[in-house]
Amino acid sequence: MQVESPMRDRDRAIDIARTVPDAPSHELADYEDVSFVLRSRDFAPIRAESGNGAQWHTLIIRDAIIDLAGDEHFERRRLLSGLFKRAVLLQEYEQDYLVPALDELEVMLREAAVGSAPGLDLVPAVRKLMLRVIARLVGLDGLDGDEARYAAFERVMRLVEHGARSKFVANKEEVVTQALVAQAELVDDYFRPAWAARSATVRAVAEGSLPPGALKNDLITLMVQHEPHYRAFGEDAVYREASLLLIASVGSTTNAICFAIWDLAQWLKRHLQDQARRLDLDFLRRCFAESLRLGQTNPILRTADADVRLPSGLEIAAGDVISINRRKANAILAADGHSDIGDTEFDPHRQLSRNVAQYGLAFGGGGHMCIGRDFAIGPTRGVSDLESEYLGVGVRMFVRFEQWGVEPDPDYVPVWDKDLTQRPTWQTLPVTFSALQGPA
Amino acid sequence: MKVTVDKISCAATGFCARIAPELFELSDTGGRARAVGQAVGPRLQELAEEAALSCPTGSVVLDRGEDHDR
Repeated sequence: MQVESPMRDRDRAIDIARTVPDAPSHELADYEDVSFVLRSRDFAPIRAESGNGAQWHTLIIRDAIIDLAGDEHFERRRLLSGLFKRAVLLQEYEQDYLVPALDELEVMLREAAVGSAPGLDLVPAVRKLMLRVIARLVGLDGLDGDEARYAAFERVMRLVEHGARSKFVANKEEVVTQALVAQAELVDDYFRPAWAARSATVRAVAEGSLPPGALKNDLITLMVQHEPHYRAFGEDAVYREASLLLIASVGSTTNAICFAIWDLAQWLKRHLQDQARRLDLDFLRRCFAESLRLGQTNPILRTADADVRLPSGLEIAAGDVISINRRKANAILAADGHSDIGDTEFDPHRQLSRNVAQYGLAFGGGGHMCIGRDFAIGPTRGVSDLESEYLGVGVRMFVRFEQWGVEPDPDYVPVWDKDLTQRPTWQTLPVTFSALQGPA
Repeated sequence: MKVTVDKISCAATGFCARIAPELFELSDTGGRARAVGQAVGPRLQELAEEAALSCPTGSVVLDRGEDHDR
């Protein structure tokens, strides 16, 4: 079933989405089955025509990398990988941007501390840092120092994010319709000016009037340079790719940082001997990964392209939908498959006996493993120098907050955002920083 | 420069072999990749770097004397 471009013909696209029936679906949590599905070329990202909610959320991200399969996915992944060179991520996004932004926040917090530890609500603070750093990676301009513009951007992004997660809500049509309107606003107010500016720079470099160094390492520059590739998917593919990069990183990383801080705080209450390791980078990275394993609950959806028998013996028919329950699969993984329930307790000393990463399926797996994994958590080995090495933006913020002596407000009880996503999403996390009393 | 493939994390996407067939081959069973010889000459270093960067699971490991360099 061909769905019209939602950017150009929103009403028609929504009319079509209303008519899509659900294909049979199977929920998987067995690690062997999950691993098989993620690696198999017989399973592709869920398609709009498979129903099960995909007819709605794919309107926001269709033809972005997460929506592609086979050769198209390979070509896109190869192209986008150029954005994620470690040396560039370290210098341009961590050292030149995030670290100074955290320094600024530290100064502000110290100035605000009068006789007691300063505090703030961590969720909007981290979200703001993430939105700005990701906007920079995408290439959207003017979000630093202009609070009104940032507030408008944040409002629009919230609606687009809700649309992309519409598979969790009952009123999908309403949420996605709002998201499409917001996405059009995102394009007009933020994307188009940036596209025009980057196009001019790319032209000037090609003509020799600007040096190659004038080109920025951002998504829009890259898409301008590879415009024929994107245009082959339609006029709007560039907008949806930019939307995806924003959607996929901001909420998940904000959530992960809040989970890690909460999980570690609860752990340290019961394991006082680990207090001394609180500034140990290796320990903190293990904490972040362990927390990621437990905190990822949104399912990964796939459509079967062929009749397949899974390792467990489950028969899947071509066209069926697979929903991978990551929370359960990750928990069973930690229990080495010996329990159907698994281990949902946070334990930073956990040694997973299978040869898998400690973050489990937090970044998916196989060919569609999250392209922003390094951006979020950095390399998984070989980092020892806290100040100069590349940690990933999520780990960098987590480590910094721990250095500041972050403590969740003892009176606060977490409230999960179950209205929109049915996943634990932090709406608020009041914290104090015990190490920030007085000037540095 | 030396190149190796982490056999455990390799997800058999075949991306590396498509980008640099001179440097990688896929096993007949399971499709996991392996490096065809470890040393990479200057002519192929750029392709080796692209293969490492494009590998979805980060299984292509380059060694230029710095273990964090990819």
